[in-house]
Amino acid sequence: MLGGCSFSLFNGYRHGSGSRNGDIAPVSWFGSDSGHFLLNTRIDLIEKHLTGMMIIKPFGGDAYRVVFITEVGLKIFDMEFIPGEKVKLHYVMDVINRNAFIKTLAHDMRLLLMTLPEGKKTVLHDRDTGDPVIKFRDHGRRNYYHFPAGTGRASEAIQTGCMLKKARVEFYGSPVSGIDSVKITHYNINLRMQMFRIIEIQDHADE
Amino acid sequence: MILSMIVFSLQAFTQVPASPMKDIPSFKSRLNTMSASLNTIESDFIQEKKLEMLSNTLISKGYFCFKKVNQIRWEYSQPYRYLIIINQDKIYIKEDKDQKQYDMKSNKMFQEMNRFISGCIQGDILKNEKEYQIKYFEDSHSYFVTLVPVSEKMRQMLKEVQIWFDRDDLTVSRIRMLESGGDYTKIDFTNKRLNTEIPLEKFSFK
Repeated sequence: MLGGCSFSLFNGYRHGSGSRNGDIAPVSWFGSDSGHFLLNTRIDLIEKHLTGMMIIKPFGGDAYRVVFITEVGLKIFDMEFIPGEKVKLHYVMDVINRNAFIKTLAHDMRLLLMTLPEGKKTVLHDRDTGDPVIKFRDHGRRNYYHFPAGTGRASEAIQTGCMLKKARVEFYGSPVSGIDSVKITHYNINLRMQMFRIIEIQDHADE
Repeated sequence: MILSMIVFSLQAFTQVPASPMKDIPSFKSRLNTMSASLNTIESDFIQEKKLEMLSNTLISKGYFCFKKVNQIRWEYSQPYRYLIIINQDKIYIKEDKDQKQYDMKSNKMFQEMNRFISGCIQGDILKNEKEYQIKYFEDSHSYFVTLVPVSEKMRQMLKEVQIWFDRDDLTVSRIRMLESGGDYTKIDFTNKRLNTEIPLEKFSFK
């Protein structure tokens, strides 16, 4: 019943054949062990606009710490994601400390990072291109990742509830140089995030 | 080797003037005089953000200027270009091709940020003994003041603010904002120029 619900929304997908399932080894854009990712980030929520730097630190095993700070160094939020566990909220600034916003943000970040429980995935295929689409279940939502043929990196991710599409992530980058930028848009609320990777100049002070 | 590294990092972290200030009234009086005679200040700055989860610090650099009354320009050049202008109760932000203007009254976060920054630069923040528990220290180079927010809500954001004043001209040379988890933001002001002519355009929104 629930599966049918989502398929009515995504007519462009079909179930994958057993032979193709083994071809896909999805990898998060942020799963590198190169230290951390620094992204110039803009969050637009209705009439509120926040800009700053998003720091994404992978800890291995699909676990991540995500910290968002303003340019002047004020911390906006600090969250930790571990597959199969509830998000751990280390800090959130009072002005945005609203349950609904935190919940949405946590869903968005999980969709972005691909930090999802093992063993809950289904392989589908795009009807037109034949490219694999992997469906994960995540805390009552479904995340669909599109993988262009021959790559293990998603080009797009769509999150749905039972009936409606919730959010969409567009990934831009290359397997060689990694992630370049990300755009997150919502279908039902006026929330948009844009992130552009900053390549750090090596003059930072090592401690 | 490891022990020497620990000792070194502890020394680096605790390099703050530890002697209590001998004559606090005199310091406050000199600071008031300086603040009254200060019309403009220009400076370069280096901002370091230390996050407990990262082994290195995040560095931002740029140019800062202040003009009485309540006109501030923060111009970041690294790691990317970003401009904040505060002029009275308006705030203007420019990033790449995007520019936005806000009324400070409608944004509590900007209001607090502005009050805090201008309070630190002019030393007015030290008059705010209701909001902060203030301690005074000194050494041969600096006067050093620590401010611990009284409000628990404020302490969730900032555990302690540390301000270094240059002993010669009493201008702020460093601000460090410590957060409860051990993270901090440190801003070093260098190449300071006092009471120079700063064109009005520096604080206007285009």
